[in-house]
Amino acid sequence: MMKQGLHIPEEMLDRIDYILAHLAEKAHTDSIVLADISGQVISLQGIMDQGTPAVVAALAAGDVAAMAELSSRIGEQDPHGSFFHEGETKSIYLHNIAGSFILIVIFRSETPIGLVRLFAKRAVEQLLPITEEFEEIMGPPADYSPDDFRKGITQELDDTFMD
Amino acid sequence: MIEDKHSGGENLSPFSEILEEMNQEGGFDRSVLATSEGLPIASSPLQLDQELTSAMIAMLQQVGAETQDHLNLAAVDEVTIRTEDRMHLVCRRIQSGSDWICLCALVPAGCYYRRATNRAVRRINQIIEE
Repeated sequence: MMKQGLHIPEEMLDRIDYILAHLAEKAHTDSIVLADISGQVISLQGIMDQGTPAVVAALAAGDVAAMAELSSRIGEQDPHGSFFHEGETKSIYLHNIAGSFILIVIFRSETPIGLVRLFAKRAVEQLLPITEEFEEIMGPPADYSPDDFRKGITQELDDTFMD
Repeated sequence: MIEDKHSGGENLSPFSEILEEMNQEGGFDRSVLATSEGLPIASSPLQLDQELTSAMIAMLQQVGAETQDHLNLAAVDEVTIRTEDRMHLVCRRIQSGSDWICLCALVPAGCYYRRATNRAVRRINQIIEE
């Protein structure tokens, strides 16, 4: 089940916003979404249509869950990695941060991937300690199965498009 | 539309500017900045064959890392290859948090490169640490 309505302290959100704004500026991104591992939006930088961040976050959560499962199936011990989708005009970089946050970076395909990777890694290093505080507030991340994610994403998409 | 805090994309990376100035100062043919995985961050000129250059960087960095491991030396600062026609391929390693990035320049015969690459490394560090 997805958590309904995240209540995050303002001070923590400010720190997150600062890190994401810095990443957006340095890496020339189009937009950045930080979501919790269940796919609920925590913060957004950049321009997106109303409702899109929630869908992007939910779908990214599904992708991250699938990739974590895939990694463990091939014997990977630490499933908290990153992956990258190269599109014709826009590309997406996803990073699973300690199984608590998902960093979703959307950028134009002409932006060098190394530039995004460089500053995204710096942002991840800065976000890492915040995940611990986040878990203290929200509780540890649940061990979601792909089925849980499928149900959660379906619910999120229904909620978004029923508005 | 919601929230419009940043929308980048139009501006060139400041790294490209640094590489361009370094090439001018040192008389270099071309240069590239890439991550430790060989992913391009910036290059000068812009239309450089980034995949080829990044592959060279990855290879040189592997040589550097192996030398460090086998000889128990400190972190590698520079790896240089000199060709028969006295050109140099210079790779400088730049620490970035827990990771590192690599500055690579193709230096024509007879050009000095250390001062120009040093200056570029300092400026790159400043941008990363800002």
